[in-house]
Amino acid sequence: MSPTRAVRDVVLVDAARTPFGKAGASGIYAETRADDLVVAVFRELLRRNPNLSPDRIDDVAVAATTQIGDQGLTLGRTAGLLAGFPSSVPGQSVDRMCAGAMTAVTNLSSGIGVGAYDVVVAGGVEHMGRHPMGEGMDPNPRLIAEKLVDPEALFMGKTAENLHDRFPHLTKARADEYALRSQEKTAKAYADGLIQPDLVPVATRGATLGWGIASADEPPRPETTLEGLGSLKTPFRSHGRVTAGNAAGLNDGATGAILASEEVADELGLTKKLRLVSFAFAGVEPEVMGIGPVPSTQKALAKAGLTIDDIGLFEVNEAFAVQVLAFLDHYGIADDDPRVNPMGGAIAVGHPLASSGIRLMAYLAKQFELHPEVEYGLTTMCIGLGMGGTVIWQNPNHGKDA
Amino acid sequence: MTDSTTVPAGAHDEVVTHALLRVVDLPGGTGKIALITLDNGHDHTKPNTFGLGGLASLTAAIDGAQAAAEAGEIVAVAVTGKPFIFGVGADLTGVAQITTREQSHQVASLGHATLRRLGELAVPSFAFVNGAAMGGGLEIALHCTYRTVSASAGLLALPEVGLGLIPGWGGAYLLPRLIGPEKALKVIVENPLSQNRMLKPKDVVDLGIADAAFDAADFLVQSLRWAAQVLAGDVVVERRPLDDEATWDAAVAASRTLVDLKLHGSTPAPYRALELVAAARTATRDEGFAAEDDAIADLTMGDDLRAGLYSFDLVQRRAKRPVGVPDKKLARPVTKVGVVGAGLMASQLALLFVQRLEVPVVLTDLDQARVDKGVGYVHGEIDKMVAKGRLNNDKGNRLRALVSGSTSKQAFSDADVVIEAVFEDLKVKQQVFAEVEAVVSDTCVLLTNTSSLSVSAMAEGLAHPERVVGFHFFNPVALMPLLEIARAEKTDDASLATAFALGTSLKKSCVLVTDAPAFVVNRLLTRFLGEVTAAFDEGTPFEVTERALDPMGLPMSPFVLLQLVGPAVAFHTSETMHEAFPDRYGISENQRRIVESGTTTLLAWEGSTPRISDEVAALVTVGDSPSTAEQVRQRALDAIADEIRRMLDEGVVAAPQDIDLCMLLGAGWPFHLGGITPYLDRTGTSERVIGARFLPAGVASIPVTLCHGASPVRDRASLALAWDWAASPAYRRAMDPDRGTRVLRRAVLATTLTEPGAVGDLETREAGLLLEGTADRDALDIPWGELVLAGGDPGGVLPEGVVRRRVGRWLRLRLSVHERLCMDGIDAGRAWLVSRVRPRALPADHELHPGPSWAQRTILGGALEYGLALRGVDDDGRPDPEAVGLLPSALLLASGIDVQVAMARADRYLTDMAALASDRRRRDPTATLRPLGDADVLTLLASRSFRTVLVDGQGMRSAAIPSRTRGWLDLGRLDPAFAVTAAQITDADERGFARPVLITVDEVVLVKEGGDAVRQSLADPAPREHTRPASRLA
Repeated sequence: MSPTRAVRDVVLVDAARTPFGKAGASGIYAETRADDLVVAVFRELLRRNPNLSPDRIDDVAVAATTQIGDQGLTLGRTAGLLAGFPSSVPGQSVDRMCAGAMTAVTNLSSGIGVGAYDVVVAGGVEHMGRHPMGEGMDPNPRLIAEKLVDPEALFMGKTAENLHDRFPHLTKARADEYALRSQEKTAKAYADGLIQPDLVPVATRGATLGWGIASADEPPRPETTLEGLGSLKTPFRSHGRVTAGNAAGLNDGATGAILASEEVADELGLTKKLRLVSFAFAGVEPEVMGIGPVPSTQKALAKAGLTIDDIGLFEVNEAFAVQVLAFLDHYGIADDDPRVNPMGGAIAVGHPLASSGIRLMAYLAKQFELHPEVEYGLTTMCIGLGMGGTVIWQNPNHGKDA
Repeated sequence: MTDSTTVPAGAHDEVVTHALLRVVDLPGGTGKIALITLDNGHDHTKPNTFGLGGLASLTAAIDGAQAAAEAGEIVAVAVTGKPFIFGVGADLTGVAQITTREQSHQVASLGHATLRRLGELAVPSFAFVNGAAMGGGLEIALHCTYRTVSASAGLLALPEVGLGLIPGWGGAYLLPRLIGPEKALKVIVENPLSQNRMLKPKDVVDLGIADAAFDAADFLVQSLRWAAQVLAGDVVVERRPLDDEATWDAAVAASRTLVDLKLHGSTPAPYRALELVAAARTATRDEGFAAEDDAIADLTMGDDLRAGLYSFDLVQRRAKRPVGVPDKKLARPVTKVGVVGAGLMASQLALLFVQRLEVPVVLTDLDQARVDKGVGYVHGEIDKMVAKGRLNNDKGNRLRALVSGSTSKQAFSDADVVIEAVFEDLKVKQQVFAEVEAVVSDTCVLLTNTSSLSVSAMAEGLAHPERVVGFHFFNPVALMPLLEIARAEKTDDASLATAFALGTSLKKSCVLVTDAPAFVVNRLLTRFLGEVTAAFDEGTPFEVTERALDPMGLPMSPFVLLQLVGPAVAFHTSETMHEAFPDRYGISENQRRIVESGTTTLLAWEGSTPRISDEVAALVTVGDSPSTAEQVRQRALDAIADEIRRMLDEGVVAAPQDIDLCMLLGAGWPFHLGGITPYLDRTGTSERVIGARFLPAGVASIPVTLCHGASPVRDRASLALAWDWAASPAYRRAMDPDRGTRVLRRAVLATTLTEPGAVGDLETREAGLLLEGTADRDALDIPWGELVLAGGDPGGVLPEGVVRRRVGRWLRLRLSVHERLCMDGIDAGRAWLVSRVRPRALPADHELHPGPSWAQRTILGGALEYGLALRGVDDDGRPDPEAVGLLPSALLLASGIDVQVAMARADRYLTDMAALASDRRRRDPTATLRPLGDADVLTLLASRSFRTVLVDGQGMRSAAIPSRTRGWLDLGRLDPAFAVTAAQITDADERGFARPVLITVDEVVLVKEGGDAVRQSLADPAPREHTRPASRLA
């Protein structure tokens, strides 16, 4: 006889991340290992939550898109060991391309929901400098030969151009304007000190420079102008619309989060920053993967019994400006709606693929804290090979005094 | 870097440790910090060291940090290392290149000048010790205001004293002031002398060296956060106040007692360290650092350090790359080991094999009870390790399961290696190997742990003698690092390579030896102990014999060693050796009686002093020809030198270096002896006994080119040579009785007639003088040879008056020392004598000069010789509490005192006085020079650092020094003819130089007779204006 199961509420206790760096030889993490980035985040999470004894962690899931070398070797396990977790804490690796960390969160949350876990640690990392996109890729020739996938589906920039084709009213000008706002909102959030509290300083070493400290994001370009954006090349298609300015760059970084069943969080006296309402992933044609958040959000809203009007804050990953615009356009939300990415997004701060899902959650948590009047928010992102993922969250601060 | 410091260009290829400066944000937005990373661009296998290039780079980084601090851009400075390594100290490969004391002094003071700035910046400084920090590396951290240490840092220590140095970049001054003298001496002196014990990060925090420890995973970030808290005042680091004088001195005294027990004053470095720590309480930073500079400079120019570095190199390099070993590719894999015998030795071997190789190990013995006992021992030891947490349960189970026993050698059938550890009897061992060969494969290597039997003889009669190899461990097997691997006549390369690969897997340092009796260590120790026990058997008192080797600082005295080895084992070995070399290896009848009596306890202890046990005392009979301690030591050393030469001639090992490596690792002989051959060379024993050095000068000693004028090594050697020759019966027979002794007899007669009270009744005999004993003193025998030497006139050519004076002085000194030794006891008497040793320099042609054996050094230029004097007697050896009289070094030899020890003391005294005189000179450059303490003007002139001050750092200075006590005059302002005249009217004993001298940093030259000095002095400028005090400019 199986016991009667009650689904348990899941809360995000805390989330933190390394500053994001630019991938490449001159980036801040050029000589820093990917696993060390994860370790830095995990240790800081435990330090920030002294009420959580590490032996209470029931599982660790770490996402990476390219699971090779320092991102291989069952990263959830090795990072736990390297971070000093007791050997009794298990771990796993997760991959859903850009939604890796989001998937780590949802997978583990499911486990909490059914009572398999009490407390978990999720994380994501991508060191695109050490592991360029497509490293070691060996696509099955059938994908192309049998036209299962458009050849352009494997090149994210081209899928973004395809999205412009599908929605001609989403012009390059609108994309550039959106990109500029992302930079401006990021700069303001920095100035207001909203981003820094969740950054984990990382010791970085350069053989010729010596040790340094990464304590702020490297990618943002607060000096960006529309003129400047307009003059950039369109590398994915001649006379195209997608530029380095209206897309996220190639980045290095890691994120991590502690999740717990709400009752255990209360028992241990842990903070509650987000409460999980529902989540969904959806597939779309791979060659227009940027549209993925539209169906995944529909599914998640339906499961939550909510409508888009119930959502007071949106954290939409900005892989490409056009992909955010397509999402907003679909739901009738203005390009500059203040509920959307109020602290800016990946176009400014960077998008180390598999790590970004938790960065969205950390941003939403900060916004929930600032906006107790908002009850629901969502985090959503498009995913390579034609997918979208959405998680709907309730604000634990809702109803409390502002 | 101070502007006056000029540094010799590094002659070797320094791997430069770069100091990389970066200004980074402190976490929490609390400002910026200048972060200096020490990184030599290699991985952790080549740790950061600091030579001149490294110091220059650090200087540049500190310059940058200082500028940033002064500009208000930073709130602090921090230093950290490359991954796993902070810094492991000065670049020792550079030491061998240092050729003068001055260079060494400059490197030391450059280190200070660079490092001290870290503690003297306008902002606080932090050391984030992320990994190994030894010596100068740790001193960098000590100069900083605060320190953090990584919880995973390995190799934290100040190991200098173990090599023969002192922590001379601030450590000896800063550490005791930081953590107190008691803890500091543990780190600086006691740990290096205890198998170079390292500190753990926890120790470093507990001792108060580091202020906080953080995990390695995010050490730098946490250290920076901590620094931010300190800077913000959120964390306050308390510093302990300095201990009061009594506590301080007591700590130093306690440590000195420990050092004495271990080393008996045999090597200077620990004592210098003690002195520096003792002085650190009241010394200023400048004084403390200057004293370290002097100590470094002195020690660098001493043979002990050179021998220490040589030893370090042998242990670090040669031990890891044994010479003459076949290609390791020939080695066969070892997947199972057999051990014949299940006694204690066999069981220890089995334990080692199973622990290190983790392959099946099977023990065999004659009956099941013995087998069970052997296996039980191994299992028991494994259990203990599990209980102590040194092995986990699974590993314990694994190892236990691998060890089995059998009464049948059939169990060896699939073994790749079988080692025998049965009774030391050739027949038994041959029998064992024959039985083993009957079961094992054709390529199974047969090892014997014999300590003295012939391996080749053991292989005789085997079908495959090429597989037999000698494999000699030392007790205790688990701890002693040496393995002597002996190639027998027929041993083939594959078997030998297998043995070496096996030895390396066992983590032993392997040395290849030929199949000669007792290989290296036991052969030398047996010869050495044989001489010592023979001296005892002849009638030398136990206390004398026991302490005779103290000046060498061996890890244990001869009888304690005998006790440790066990009388029976030692006797057995000496019998074997006697059989092999009857003319050199004797049999002690006393030892035979002791062994036959069955007693195993040789010694009884009174505190830390051993005496012979009553049981043994009743067994032994001794002769009536006692030796002095010095004679015992010389005899033992002579025997070692002789035996080593023979071993090298026989090809027992490839080179003297292998002998030394064996003695360092197998006998635990100290680094400062360099094993042994460097010590034999530097004491002149090698030259005297075998007519040549073992190692070229400079390999483990100061290169000859470094010595000013005559080499002190040569002088000592020739002195010892003359001594032996003059004392030999052959010399006495050959000596012309009508001339040689006639002058001496008259000299003695004159002394007794003029001073009957001082000398007393002397009886002249054919062999020499006999001084009758009294209630207060024993009789004293003075051979003619000794007097020949004392008179400095073996050829009989000196004026009789000179001989008379020298012999008189010798007799008075000899007698007063003898009385002292009889009155106070030998040790106290020697200590009294050594404590009164002073430096003394004299012109070579001086009236007082006691002859060629006196001078220990000649200052370059030949005009000034440097030797010893004794406070409390005048120059004729008469008691005078205020006087400082000449002390022939032979007198020290006759009293059993190492001349080097006395010289070290004299050098130290001169260093101190020269420093004071230099200060005086700097304060008032125009004043005449006066004696300082017990050092007269001539003696001060023997100090290179003082000469440097005299000549203003460079160039030449001419001077008139007509009197050795009355001052000197600058010829820049005086008629040089004065020098000659003044000298002529000065009393001969008081005279300085008869003519003007020219002084440079390196030289003191007497000008030629004639007018040269005038021209030279005219070209010589007066003291530079800027060195004069301002008040004198008016």
